[in-house]
Amino acid sequence: MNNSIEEKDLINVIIHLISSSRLIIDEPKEYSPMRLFSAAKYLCRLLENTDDQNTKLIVNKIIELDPIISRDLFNKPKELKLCLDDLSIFITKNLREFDE
Amino acid sequence: MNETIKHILTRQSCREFIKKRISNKTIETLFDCAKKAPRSQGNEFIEFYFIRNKKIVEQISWFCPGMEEVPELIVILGIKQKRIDVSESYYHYLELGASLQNILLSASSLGIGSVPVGSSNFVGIHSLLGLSKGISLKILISLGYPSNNRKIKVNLSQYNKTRSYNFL
Repeated sequence: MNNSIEEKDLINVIIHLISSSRLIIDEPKEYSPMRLFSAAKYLCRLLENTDDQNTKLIVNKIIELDPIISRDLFNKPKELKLCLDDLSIFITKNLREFDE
Repeated sequence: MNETIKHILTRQSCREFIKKRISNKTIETLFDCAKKAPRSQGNEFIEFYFIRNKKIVEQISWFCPGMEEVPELIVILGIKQKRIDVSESYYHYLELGASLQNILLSASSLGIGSVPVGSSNFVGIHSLLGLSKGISLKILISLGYPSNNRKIKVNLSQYNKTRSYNFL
């Protein structure tokens, strides 16, 4: 666990989530996955300096995928589903190794 | 090609910026251009906020889920609510739009990238900046010198579809 994470960093991510939550009411529903993924990316940035290799793999993968999710796969639900499914598998595989 | 037409036809949204300060003189020019948008009846109901303070810009960015990168400069256009409450006219929105476009195009002509950020939590930003209750924020613009990391291919076919007019 990275000990350098400050409360204000987490509050900023909370502001992002609350703002997203408010804005999605009026925005196209296609924006929703992108907004949630961005929040995941911001949390990952806080974990970038982790010493744990498994966490690092997950974090880097999510940061790397963010521009793809928000640009290339925007409004492409089929491809987006596949991408998020693959990511879920990637994360769980690393979590399993983590448990072992 | 005429320079003005060139900027109208070639400007596109820019969301990635380099770390280069936008000078006071440039900001004044952007403000002058924003003010020069056509106004009806001389009504001064548009408020302009130019925010360059890094700490405030970064804080605002968290209220803007649609903002991908923290820009060098944020411009927010607001309307004095009291002035428009008494009128059913929609002119103030047209005028605000003209000011917005003047900022975007003048920025483009100065080599500055920009993007209007529609996904902005204006209630949160209003509170953060401690603005008076009479001001209603309407649109936020991210500005900065563009990064060349990303080359965007503009698909002009979408514009061609909407290009219809009657020549009488």
